[in-house]
Amino acid sequence: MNFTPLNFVLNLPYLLKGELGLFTALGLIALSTIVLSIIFEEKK
Amino acid sequence: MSFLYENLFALTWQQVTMWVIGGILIYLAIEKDMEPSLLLPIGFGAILANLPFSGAVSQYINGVFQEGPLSTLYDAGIANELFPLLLFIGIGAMCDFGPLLSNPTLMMFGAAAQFGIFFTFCIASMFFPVNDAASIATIGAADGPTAIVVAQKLHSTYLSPIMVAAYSYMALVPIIQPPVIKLLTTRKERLIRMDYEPKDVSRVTRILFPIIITVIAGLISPASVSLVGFLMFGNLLKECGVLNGLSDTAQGAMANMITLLLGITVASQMQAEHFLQVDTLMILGLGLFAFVFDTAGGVLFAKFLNIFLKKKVNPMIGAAGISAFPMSGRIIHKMGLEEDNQNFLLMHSMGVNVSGQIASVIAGGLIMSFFM
Repeated sequence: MNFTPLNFVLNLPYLLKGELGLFTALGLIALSTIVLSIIFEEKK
Repeated sequence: MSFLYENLFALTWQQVTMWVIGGILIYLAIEKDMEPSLLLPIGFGAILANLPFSGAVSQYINGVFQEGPLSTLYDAGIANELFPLLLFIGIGAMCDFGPLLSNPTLMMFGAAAQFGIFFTFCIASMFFPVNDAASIATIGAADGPTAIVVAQKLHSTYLSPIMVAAYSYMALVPIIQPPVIKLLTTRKERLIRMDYEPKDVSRVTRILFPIIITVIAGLISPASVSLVGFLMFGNLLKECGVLNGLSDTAQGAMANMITLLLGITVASQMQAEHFLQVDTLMILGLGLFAFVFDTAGGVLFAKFLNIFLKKKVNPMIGAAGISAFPMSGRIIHKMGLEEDNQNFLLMHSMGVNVSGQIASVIAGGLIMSFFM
């Protein structure tokens, strides 16, 4: 095990990419769900 | 007569330490009711794998290779990721996405509460190679099967401590989350009431939801398809309404069977010479760190949203985005009741909790996409 503090900074872009990917994916899923709910609204 | 005691002389202090660790896991499972279905098999398996010349695990004895059943099970079910993926079908069949479908915006909390995974990766990368750091960070997914699949796909050498940490911390969610939540919120914020207005969700929406998630997650993060696909297949079995027998089997008998085999098989990797290392302590520490920062990510995101929202959300529900379904959702509900016995947060926290289940799987897929 080597201690390389520089790796923290070098890998920070993955933090951004990861959260961006998650928000995009879940945002699209949420949007699709809203659209689905409107199209297939439960008839009473 | 030497055969009666020669094995005793082969016993090492490291193996005895592993017996103690196994004993502690069994104690936690039985006395403290912490994830007993996993900690008990893991604990017993740890003892089994650490007997001198144990016949339960494959090893060379006097230059002759002897196959052990636990190692055979490991090759058949974990090395190829089969057990965790099959378990996902069961978890999918158990998940009720109703509260989430009633209020899809809750989905965003799941994304925010995966912050700990990526932040822990940055921290872990200072000490470990990238593939190991990414696998260790996935402990923060609070989702054992995802942690196993990612560690296997990235060929991490730390599978057993990662699994032990993932499942132990999932069991410790009631102890880890409340202090972090209290530290980051004021009593006034914890008292915020949220109305629940359930909307009728059509059957077609419930059926199309798992299919749409699989397609979107697959397009954004192809590596996540195996994880998301099996989870959503399980949910489709439940929601389609025509396969109740299969759905019941998936969430009952099959999930129990896989859980039973998974726990004891993982323990085959807990042999003292591999497990008792400084690295293991580091992994346990980093896993805890990931859980804490996941919780903080969810809570802080909710507080951030409250700056813009007219109808405020109780920031505690953000913490349920950590996954650990359904424990985390229940804890938030309980915390809400402790502050105000008329504040019922269950449906909101459960909605966030299932979104965390989806988000943690996608996060695992993204990690694999980045580093495979």
